[in-house]
Amino acid sequence: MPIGVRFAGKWRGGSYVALRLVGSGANGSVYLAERGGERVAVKVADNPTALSLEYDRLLRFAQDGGGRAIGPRCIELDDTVIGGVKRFFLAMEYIDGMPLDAFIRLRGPEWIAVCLVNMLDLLELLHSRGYIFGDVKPANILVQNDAGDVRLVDFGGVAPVGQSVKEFTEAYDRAWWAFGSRRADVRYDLTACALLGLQLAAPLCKADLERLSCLRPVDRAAWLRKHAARAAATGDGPIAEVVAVMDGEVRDLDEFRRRLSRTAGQRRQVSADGMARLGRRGGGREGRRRRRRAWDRTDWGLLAAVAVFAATLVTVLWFGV
Amino acid sequence: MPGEPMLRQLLLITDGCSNLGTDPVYVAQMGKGRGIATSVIGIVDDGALGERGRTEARNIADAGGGMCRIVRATDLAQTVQMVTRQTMQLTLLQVVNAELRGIIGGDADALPPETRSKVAGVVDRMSEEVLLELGLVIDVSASMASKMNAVREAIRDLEFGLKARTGESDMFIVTYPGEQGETAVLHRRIGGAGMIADVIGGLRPAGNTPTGPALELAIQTMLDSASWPASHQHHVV
Ligand SMILES: Nc1ncnc2c1ncn2[C@@H]1O[C@H](COP(=O)(O)OP(=O)(O)OP(=O)(O)O)[C@@H](O)[C@H]1O
Repeated sequence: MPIGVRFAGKWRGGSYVALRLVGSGANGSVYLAERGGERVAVKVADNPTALSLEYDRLLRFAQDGGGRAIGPRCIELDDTVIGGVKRFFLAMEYIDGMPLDAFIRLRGPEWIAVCLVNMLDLLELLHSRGYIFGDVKPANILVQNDAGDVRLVDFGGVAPVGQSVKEFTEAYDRAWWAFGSRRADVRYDLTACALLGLQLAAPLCKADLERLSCLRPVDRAAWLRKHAARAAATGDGPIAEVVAVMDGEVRDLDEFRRRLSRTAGQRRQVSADGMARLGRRGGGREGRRRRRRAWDRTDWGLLAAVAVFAATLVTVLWFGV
Repeated sequence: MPGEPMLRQLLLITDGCSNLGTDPVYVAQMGKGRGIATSVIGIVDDGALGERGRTEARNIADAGGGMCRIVRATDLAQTVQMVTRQTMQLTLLQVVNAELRGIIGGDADALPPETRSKVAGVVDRMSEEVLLELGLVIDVSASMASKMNAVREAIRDLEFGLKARTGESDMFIVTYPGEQGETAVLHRRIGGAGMIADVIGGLRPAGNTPTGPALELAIQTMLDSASWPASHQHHVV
């Protein structure tokens, strides 16, 4: 679909202008578009079945009962003709965020635990309604702000507990790594989150994945454990928590979240009173960013205290003695 | 389709062009006439497929009422899953559309979005629950040697996917050519143990590319297994 093209839905009459291609995948392309002065996301596809199914899932699960947003608000499903070709499209809220892997690269591995915890909260809302998300991967998790709040996109993989998971990404798929079946259950999402956490902390390169795709699943698992051990020795990030899930020691979202929160809390503590250490490391862009992030409530409090002290001193010197 | 609804489909995986025996396009067409859909995955890694191979792959899929994808060996697992799933949806949608044409004079694409999405939901649930008989037809000619591990794991992955479905399924494999000069060899899983993917591990790639005869064997196998699933445990070579 060319940028700048204007199109209108045949059934609902919604009128759109395509502004920018956001990304494309197996089921179509997602565009940033404008609709009546509002920025929206439009997924365009040739295959109506998958898109219709995603529409249904989005309509039912993007918001939880209490109005909490799990994914993008669903706007409409329609079809149109662009350049003489019939196209099916799904319009939804545009989520202005950054894919999780990009966010972690920018902000550092200590944010992995924070983002995972936020994500587990959303997954739990889905799980409480008997469905799982399924296709957990960085591109489907958008980080919306500096606090690491996330939203899920691509509801095409949402599956009822008990059925098979039909959309997945091998690197985060429980069955591919021999950690269990591909039947939808709460632990499928849990395992996917753990695999995601590990690969955010210690990414696999394309060559690794290609080599692994020719190995038996058990051999992949053995390799992954070694990979995790290496990452634990050298890297940052919630590796121990992830391994606990792989070992079956952590069996539900709640326990995983508890452990991650503990780490996230500790890390934040460290970064707050580790100002000097970070400052020394700084100089580059990375250092600046880290220093800015470290200005949390405590630091502002400290600054205020210093200011008050200075003001008092000046006052005393001026009027006093 | 007597009794319980059942889907029958063949998936051909090849990296070349047929060069022996019956025309595979003709065979696929025949299969379609007997209610068996044929899809094709062409592997492009060392360019062995060529323009001729591509065209043949597309023609087989068209004649067989299935779909065609040309991919690299490393994308095989994902593609095998996707093609299997989408071929099921395609076949089911054709059934639904035939019904709809009788009722509304058009197919599902002509429905308003809300209704279409309900139809999609029905198709999706059927594809999860329907009885599936799947025949994999796999080219093991010499040029495939370097891709055999990827093929084996893609098949294993497909077995994981099928096992997770609520509906029952049965799968057999036809490899071609055979090691002792046969055009094609049939492999079935014996009993409940092990995975059928592992038969691929023990094969030595060799010889010609008799795609047509291999498809014929697969179709014949399906037509013979009319009493399935009661008797799906024999081993034929
Ligand atoms: N509502 C949205 N707001 C902003 N970005 C979005 C939205 N929906 C999807 N995207 C982005 O668009 C890209 C493609 O979307 P999506 O994953 O839905 O497509 P897909 O065809 O299902 O892809 P895949 O096959 O890779 O899952 C992703 O990178 C995603 O981050």
